[in-house]
Amino acid sequence: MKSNADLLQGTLDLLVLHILSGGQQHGWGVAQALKDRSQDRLIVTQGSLYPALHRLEREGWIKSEWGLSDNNRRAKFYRLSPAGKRQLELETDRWRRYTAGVDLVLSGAPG
Amino acid sequence: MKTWFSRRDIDRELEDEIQFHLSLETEANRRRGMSQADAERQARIDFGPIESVREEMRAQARTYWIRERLKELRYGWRQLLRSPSYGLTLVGILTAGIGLSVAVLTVAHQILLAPLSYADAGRVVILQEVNADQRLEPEDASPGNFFDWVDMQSGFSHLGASAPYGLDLRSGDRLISLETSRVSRHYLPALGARMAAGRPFDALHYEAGAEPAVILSWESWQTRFDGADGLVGSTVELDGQPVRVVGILNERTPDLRGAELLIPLNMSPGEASGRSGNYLSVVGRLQDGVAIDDANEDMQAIALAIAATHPTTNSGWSVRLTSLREHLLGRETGIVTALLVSCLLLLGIVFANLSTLAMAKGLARAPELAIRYSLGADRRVLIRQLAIENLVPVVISLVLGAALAWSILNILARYAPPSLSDLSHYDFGPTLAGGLTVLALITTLVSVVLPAVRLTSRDLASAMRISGGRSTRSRQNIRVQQALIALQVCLTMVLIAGSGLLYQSLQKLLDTDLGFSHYGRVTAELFTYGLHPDAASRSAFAQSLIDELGNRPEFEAVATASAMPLTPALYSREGVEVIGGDVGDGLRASANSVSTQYFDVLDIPLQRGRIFGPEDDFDSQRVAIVSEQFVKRFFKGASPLGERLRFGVLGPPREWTIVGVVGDILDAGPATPPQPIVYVPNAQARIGGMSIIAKTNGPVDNATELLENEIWRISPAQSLSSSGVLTDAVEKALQAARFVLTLLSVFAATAVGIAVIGLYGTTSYFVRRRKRETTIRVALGLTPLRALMWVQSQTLAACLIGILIGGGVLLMGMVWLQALVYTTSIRDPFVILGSAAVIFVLAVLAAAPSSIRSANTDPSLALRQD
Repeated sequence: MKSNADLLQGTLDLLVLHILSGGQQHGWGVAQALKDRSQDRLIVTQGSLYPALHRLEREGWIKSEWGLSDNNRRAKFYRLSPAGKRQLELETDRWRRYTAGVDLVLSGAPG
Repeated sequence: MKTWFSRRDIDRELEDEIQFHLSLETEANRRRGMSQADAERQARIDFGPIESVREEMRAQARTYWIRERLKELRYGWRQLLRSPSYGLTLVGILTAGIGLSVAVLTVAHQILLAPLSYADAGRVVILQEVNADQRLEPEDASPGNFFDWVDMQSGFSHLGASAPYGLDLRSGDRLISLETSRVSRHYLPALGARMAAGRPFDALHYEAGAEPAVILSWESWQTRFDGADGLVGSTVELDGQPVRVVGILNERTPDLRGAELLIPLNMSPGEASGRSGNYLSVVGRLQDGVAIDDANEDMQAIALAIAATHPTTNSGWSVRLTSLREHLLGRETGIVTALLVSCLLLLGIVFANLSTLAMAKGLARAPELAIRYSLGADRRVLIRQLAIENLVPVVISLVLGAALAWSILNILARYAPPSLSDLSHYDFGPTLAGGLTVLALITTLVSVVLPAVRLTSRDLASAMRISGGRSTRSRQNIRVQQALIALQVCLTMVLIAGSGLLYQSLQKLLDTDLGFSHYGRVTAELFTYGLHPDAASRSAFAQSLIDELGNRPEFEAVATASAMPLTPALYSREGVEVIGGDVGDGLRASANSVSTQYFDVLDIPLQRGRIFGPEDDFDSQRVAIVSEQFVKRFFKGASPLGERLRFGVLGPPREWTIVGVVGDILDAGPATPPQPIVYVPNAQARIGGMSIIAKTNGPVDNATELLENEIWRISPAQSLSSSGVLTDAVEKALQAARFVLTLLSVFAATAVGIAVIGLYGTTSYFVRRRKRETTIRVALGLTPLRALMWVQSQTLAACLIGILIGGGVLLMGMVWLQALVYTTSIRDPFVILGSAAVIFVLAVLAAAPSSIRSANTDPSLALRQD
């Protein structure tokens, strides 16, 4: 199993912000989305998602509130803040330029 | 805001979140066909180690909290830099206020409260003889009285006495006479003196034929014996005799007289029963459970009993007990209390000032805060931010204030007069830290928490238009401002006038005419008994000194006396009997045997009769000269010329005829009222030791050395002590007063400076608040001059109220102040009126710049701004 230590620094933040840009979600939901959308390629230790969520909240990029889940249980929901939206754009852009750069290098001849 | 919740809240929330996650994961696993147990197990495995998640989040919360506070501090620092004049004013006022008051609080604590170094010092009392009828200064005990006290008392576990003495120590080829105390067996235990080395005297040292023994003071060990190790147990040569050193006193518990050497006090039966010479300093240690007042009553009863059996010497004389602290620092406590009160006043001014500054600052910030609030900012966040902003200058001031207090204390410890010298041994640390903590808390509350809460608690919508000064709130604010102005003015006035009155009283003390001239007079104390055992040879030696020294061109006139004013050479207190009069019993006076030139050398004026002449020799009629006080007290002002006296210790009982009256002298310094003195000619009697005094012919360099060398030239084996210039002795007596005066001046000046800054700040704030009203009035045709007067009248009304209240407080406090200060009267309307005038002028000046600005504003500009 991969742990998020294998994820590139900051990638988890980007992924979480992206997932939350689709609407509010609780922690388990974020973990499931991560798993499903990566087709099980990115499996994050679920527990390590929470420190990340709380960190993003402290940065002011996401907001949280307690509400009721589908099955009527108390759950904590996270949603993107306006600042988070900007941050997501910034991070996505940075990620794209980074991977494009890496691709260019890898597609060339070695040596 | 999560950081403001307790850690338990955070943990519980996290726990809920994790449990919710695990239950959803378990359900998902169940849907995949796992059993309930397997589903739960797998959910936990996928979640990973729960405890490490918890730990990571806690750590995150901590570092986040610190980072956030640092961010806010940086923001506060930037705010401070943005308005440097505000920041500098705040830091300046706080630093001065904190530094000065913490220093004074620490000194006051040391003098008024800190435990003395003597063992269980609260039980140590000093016993002195007092006579209410004769209005004499309390005095030491006679041996006869002391031994009666020892026999009759029941309240003390130890009652001991010490008597002054001199012992010669050879230093090079000179003899130096060291101040010595002969101490009774119970003296050191009663005092609770601690030993640095060795032990106190025990019973063996007091037995007849015991080996001579000595205890050294810490100072003499350090200066005379270079702090040599192994001194205890060895012998030193004193008065040409080997004497065994049995101990060294602890540095912090010196002998009360400051003697360098202590030797056992042994008295012949004759000396022990004497009641006419008062030279025993008596110290008692109260038994457990005996209060000083009870012991006092007990001793007074004993004194009455003694007076009944010995009326001639003891009639009217009683005993007074003084606590050791009062004895050591008594004269200083009053003045320290006054300093303490002025310190509290200063703090009052500082804090009134801080509130004003914070309000003014808040006024400037109000619109910004209102906007942030209306945009949905959390009030708690705003409070915290404002508090941290104000905290920056407070912390800076606390650090600077602590440094200031520390330096002040070190300066005080170095330059404080000997009467306050316990300061130099004092560990300031704990008190300093305590004082700082208390001040830090108050300061934080006044200038950090309260303004932040106040600013955010007001209807923030009204804050938007606060500069208009239209809401009820802002009218209340104006009342608060006026009250603050009045408070500052009142406190400043009390402080200035109080300091002024104390200053005046001390100045009077410094200017007091001592009744004798001291400038250009050098003295030296000689011990003549060893070289000149009989009276005739002592007298001849004195005359030869006078003649030989008088021939030197440097000396204009020379005299000898058994006691010199303001020098350690003590006056002998003598019981005096007026023969054939109805003057009454129990009279006592200081006795001094002087050479004929004595009055001339010291410029003591003759008021009636004659001074001594060469005809008053050993074989002629015994004659005496008395001081004015002597006449006032014992003869009710009637002429005493021709009256006859009898004294106790001046040889076999003889009658002395009064031939002259001279002016009073303040021989114990300006703070002690003149005492009755009786002078007798050297040639007819010698009391105690001998001092020589020479009046120099104009200014003479190294007059002291010259005198010493001349004496040694005439009599090479002569031992000398305490030689010096009389003016120095006068200065020493005035040192404490001068010191306090300097302190007071610095204090008052600081207070005035702070108050002026505060008044300026308050009035400019005040004026700014009323700017709109002012400009409307100007727009409606009020001339600028009238407008100026109108603006000023607002602040000056508050000033006047403050001055009136201050005047009232002063009048009430005057009685108390009088009790604190020296003998001079302090009722001086000019000081009070003067300080009122000074404050008023300062207030007008402080209000002037902003008032003028306000009155001159172009109305259209000011209104548009709003």
